[in-house]
Amino acid sequence: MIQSAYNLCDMDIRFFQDAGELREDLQRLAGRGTERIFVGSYFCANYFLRCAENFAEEFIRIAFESGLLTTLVVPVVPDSLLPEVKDYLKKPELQTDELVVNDYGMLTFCGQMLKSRVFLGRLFMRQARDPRYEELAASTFRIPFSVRALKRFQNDFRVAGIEMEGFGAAIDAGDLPEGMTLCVHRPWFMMSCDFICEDASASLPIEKKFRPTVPCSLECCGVSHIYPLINGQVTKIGRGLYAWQEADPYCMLPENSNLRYIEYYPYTEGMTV
Amino acid sequence: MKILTPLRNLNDINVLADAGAGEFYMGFTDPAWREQFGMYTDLNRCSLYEEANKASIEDIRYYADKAHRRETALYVVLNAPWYGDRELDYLKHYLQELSDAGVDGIIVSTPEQIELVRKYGMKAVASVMSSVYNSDIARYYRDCGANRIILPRELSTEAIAQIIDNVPEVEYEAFLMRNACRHADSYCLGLHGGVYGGLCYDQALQDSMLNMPQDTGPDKINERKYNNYLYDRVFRSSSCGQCAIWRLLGNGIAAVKIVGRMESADEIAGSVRLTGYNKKIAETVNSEAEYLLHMRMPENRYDYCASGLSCYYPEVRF
Repeated sequence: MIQSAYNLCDMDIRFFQDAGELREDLQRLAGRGTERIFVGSYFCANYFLRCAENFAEEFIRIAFESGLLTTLVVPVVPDSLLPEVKDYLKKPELQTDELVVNDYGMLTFCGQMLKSRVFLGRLFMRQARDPRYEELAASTFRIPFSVRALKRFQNDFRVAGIEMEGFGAAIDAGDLPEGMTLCVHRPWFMMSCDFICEDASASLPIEKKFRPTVPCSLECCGVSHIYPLINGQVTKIGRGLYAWQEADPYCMLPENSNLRYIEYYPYTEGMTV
Repeated sequence: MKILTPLRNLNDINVLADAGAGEFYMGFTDPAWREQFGMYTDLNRCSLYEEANKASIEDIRYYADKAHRRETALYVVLNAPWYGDRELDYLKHYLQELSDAGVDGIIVSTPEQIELVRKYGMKAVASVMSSVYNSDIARYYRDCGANRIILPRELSTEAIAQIIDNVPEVEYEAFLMRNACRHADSYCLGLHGGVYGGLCYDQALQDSMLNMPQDTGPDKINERKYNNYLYDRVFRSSSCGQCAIWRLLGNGIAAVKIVGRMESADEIAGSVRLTGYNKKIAETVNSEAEYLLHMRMPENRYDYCASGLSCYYPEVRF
């Protein structure tokens, strides 16, 4: 079975502020076959908390009323924010049937303390993906885990699927344990991640700039940086660096597995295409 | 607190040990790995840089012998971004050979390698590729059997102290000197090496373009452009954590890491000597203020030091 999801993680926060427009956008997505929306953040604990505090509850409700399920994506969180993030994850109003985690600590917490199905997010999957190299772009990618590890995650933490990037000629998911879903990010895929958020420092004096996990006002929202490369380009939004692959990789799946495409466009304009 | 340094040549051991290195780390190369898994499946994080992996696996025993004769330890990196079933299986014969060679520990990148490494009687060190950003992740690696954890470059001294306090059962290693990247080590998945260079290298060759909402005023745009210029052109063009040695000692860091697997022994030795000098100061003074007064900064780097843009731990001074 092929499922269709849409990724609104790390999206300009203004997108979520007008409930009427949001409802229209979500209904439009549902109308074109999208079943599930991803919300939260892959890269930023500050963004995740702002999302949890300000609009996640209403978003989950509007999505549900629009016929869409919500997946909450949890980034890697520093110790200083971990208790707050865990408190939000336990709130009944923010319960979703699926959570995406991106580190082993959060995998343990969500897998043992919460009831939602857990997915291993894109930050777990570390194969090189680099469109500058044609040979690499023509490769087939395997699952970057041992079968034993995946089965243990399935048994110990209720892991229901893994996320990979839609890069390369094909994804050979033959090693995926029975019942697991392969989720593929497309057409923009993550290529890298800055170690700090450049945008968060915009208004700070030089000697205070570029520190990790500084409090911010989500200065990343509405801003993107385009880097021309020798053979291509990458777009940076917040800490995430993305590149584009037009063609879908062919996915070779074992029996009893599902495939889910997670569409992502870094600009909200992509929504209305 | 040991000083851990990269090692490229057998003859460098004496130079670096004389300078004060207490531990070494190195990679090796094996054409059979390439034949088996292809050009783009890494054996270690710097596989595509030949200069960083000059030794063969057969050579490693000579490095281990010599390191031990100098009463230092030798770690070998097997810290590629990922290993699947086939790769993990293949690693076993390397681990046997490295264990027979007397290697002290293996720097690994995945939890699955830890059990394997321990089985072969060596210490398992969780590489920076393991992304131990908080105490919960450190606990996970501790429970898997890691003996030491290398903390990400972007953690502050406060964040480091918190992890060590919460999970004290393992050793910790922190970055201290030389090149740093703008990307998070463990999440940068552009090819690290190759004809186009690393993604960071390629990004630095041309100016980037900044997109902002149309209603942004000129002051804001100029502020962003200036910020972007500093980030792209100045920030972390060199990296140093000498000012933090007093804190890192107090935090209980077991080893500080000098990076630069492709740099000359003389360059590395300079950083080791400076670190050794400052460590001695830190061990004898009574306060951080006293340490900062007496410590030495890297030579000819005052412009970098004064801006705070090349500090691993800028919070110490700024």
